[in-house]
Amino acid sequence: MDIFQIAAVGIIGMVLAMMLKRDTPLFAILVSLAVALLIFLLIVPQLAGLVSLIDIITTYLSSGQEYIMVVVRIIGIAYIAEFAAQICQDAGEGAIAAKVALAGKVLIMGVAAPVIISLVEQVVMIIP
Amino acid sequence: MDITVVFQIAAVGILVAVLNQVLKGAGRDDQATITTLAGLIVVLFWIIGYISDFFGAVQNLFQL
Amino acid sequence: MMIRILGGILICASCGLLGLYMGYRGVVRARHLAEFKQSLLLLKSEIEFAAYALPQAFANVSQRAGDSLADFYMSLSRRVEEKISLDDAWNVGLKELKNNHLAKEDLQVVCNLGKSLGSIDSEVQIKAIDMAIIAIDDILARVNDQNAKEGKMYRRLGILGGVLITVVLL
Repeated sequence: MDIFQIAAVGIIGMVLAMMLKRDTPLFAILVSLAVALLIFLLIVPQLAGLVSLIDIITTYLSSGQEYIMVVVRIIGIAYIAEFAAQICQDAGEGAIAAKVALAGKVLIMGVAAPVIISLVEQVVMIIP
Repeated sequence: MDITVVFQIAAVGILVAVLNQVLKGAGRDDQATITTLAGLIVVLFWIIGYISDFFGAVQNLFQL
Repeated sequence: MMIRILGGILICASCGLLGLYMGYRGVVRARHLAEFKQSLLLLKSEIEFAAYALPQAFANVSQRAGDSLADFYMSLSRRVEEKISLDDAWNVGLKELKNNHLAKEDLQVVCNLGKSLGSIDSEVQIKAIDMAIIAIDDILARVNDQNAKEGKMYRRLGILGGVLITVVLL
């Protein structure tokens, strides 16, 4: 089963990173980065399935399909920002991690802007 | 990408650490720094391909 | 798969041997220096106590010296008999010295000695040889120190470098 593979990879990566952390913290972070990438790449097929599930659900909706797309993109931005921020924080660079997270938030707001605008339009239309 | 890359990176890391110790013990600090740098460059070579794979996959998945 | 493992082992072994060779060079230099000092002591005793002319002294030393130095002293004795100046004969003989692992500074000391040996006074010759022996002792002590430290380092560097290259290329 996949979860066993992934759990094993994670634990092996953790052990290797611990071993390297004392002598070369640099390579410890590289190892944890490589393990994180590997686990994600192992998950990609399942994630594709999930996204296509969301696609199928949207076809049952009569209106507002583009809003589902916006939500999916926001999830993508949030995931990448969190990945990078966590790696930076593991390496001890809290400042860089915070800035990456901030950038993620700003970009998410940017992507969500049209939704917010149309929401305000709808509300204004309801209020006479 | 499979787990052998992770083992390779860990092996390079350990060897670079040991080489560092040997060279520093013999008093050649500058060569120790150069070997660390060389190890880092080699590992980066391996990882950069996977990072671009990762970003491409996320881009496709979430239609960014 | 097997070929890769075989190749990896070959790379490790060859790099390890390279490391061993680098350490070996230092050891051989020390040995050659000691041999030369030995031959200089023989030469000094010949000049001091036997009062032979130089060609004969060189011939005697060449009989009791080590292999490579025997040729050197023999050719030296022959050339001095042919009335070639001692300085020239000395330098030419040094160039012909095969399998020479002596470093530049060692050869410097030996060349300087050659210049002083050409003088007629045996007192001056003996003093010059003494000075050369002291200089060689100095260098020997330093080289032995260096060898003790660097020999180990080169060995380890060799094997570790080989393993590193194997891992990178695997």
